[in-house]
Amino acid sequence: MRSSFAYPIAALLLFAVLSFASSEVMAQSGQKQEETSSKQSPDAEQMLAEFSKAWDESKWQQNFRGNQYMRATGEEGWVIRAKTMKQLVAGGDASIPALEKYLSSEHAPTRILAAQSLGYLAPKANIQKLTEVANNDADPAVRLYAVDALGMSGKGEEIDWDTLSKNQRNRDVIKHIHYAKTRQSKGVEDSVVNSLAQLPEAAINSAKVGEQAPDFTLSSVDGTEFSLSQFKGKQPVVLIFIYGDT
Amino acid sequence: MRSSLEALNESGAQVLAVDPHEAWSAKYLLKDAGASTDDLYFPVLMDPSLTTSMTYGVSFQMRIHTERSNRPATFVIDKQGILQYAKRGERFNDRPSAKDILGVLKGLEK
Repeated sequence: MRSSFAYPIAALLLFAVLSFASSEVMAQSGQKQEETSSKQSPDAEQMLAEFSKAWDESKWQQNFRGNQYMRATGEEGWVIRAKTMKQLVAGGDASIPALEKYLSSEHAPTRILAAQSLGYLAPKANIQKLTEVANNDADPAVRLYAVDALGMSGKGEEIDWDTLSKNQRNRDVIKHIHYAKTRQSKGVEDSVVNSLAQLPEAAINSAKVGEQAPDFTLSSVDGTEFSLSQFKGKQPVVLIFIYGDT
Repeated sequence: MRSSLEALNESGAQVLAVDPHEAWSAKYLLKDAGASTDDLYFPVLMDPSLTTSMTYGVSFQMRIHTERSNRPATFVIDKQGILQYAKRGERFNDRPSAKDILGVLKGLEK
């Protein structure tokens, strides 16, 4: 029983690859990405400024620092966070100056968004600035994403992880420093960045009961690729999302 | 938990789990918990780009530890690829029981 569901450890770590099967969609996103990249950073600044405003105007921000521990926020406001992050990452290197500027925003949710988005662009980001944020930001979530970004930069060997650990009181941040350290020079994979950059915005929150389930292709922990569509016509699928620890 | 997962597997459905971490991080978490990938009963798929989590409407909504992460969520997709059941949890561990899911799967056969 057990062995049939056990997966051997692959020699190489393969990262998740999500591809949208339609080449048309890919071509369109590629085009979009090019257009975005050709624009300069003020657009990324505008996106971040609009995000801050949208967050403050939405109801869901009321729960952000409340006693909502392990409770879902429920409102649809998360979609703007997802869309903004996707757009910023699709902007590529041109988004970096604005993201680094907004790491010093007075608006904590915007700093969180900036630090998380920078993770995907981290190989070209300013390591010193991220280190400063990871050491000093008042909000643990910002420090945590800055730590993740440092790990995703692929420059782990240049980073003073011990000093970073000493400065932390938050358990999660300390844990993430530990993860980030073990990556060493393994930066974020291009395939991960591309799948986020190329995600059609209309795909966000598109799974609806009674409709065709959106297809995906993801790698398992041991590197085997699975697509939802491979089970079509064969067997039903029970898809379980594990909560993330961040 | 494990026996209910076995029951799901025996039902003829394919169970897939999605974790928003990168593989190296998930392996580290497993090791931290004294387990390895050999202990997994079903494939754990990595979604570090969060694209599948966003598409299925579960990302950025669960306040856990320092941040908002994926909601615990369960979906059932029938043989034709139609999404037949969706439960996006309101609380930590707010999931349908294996019995509930087996009921949904049985309903699909009719």
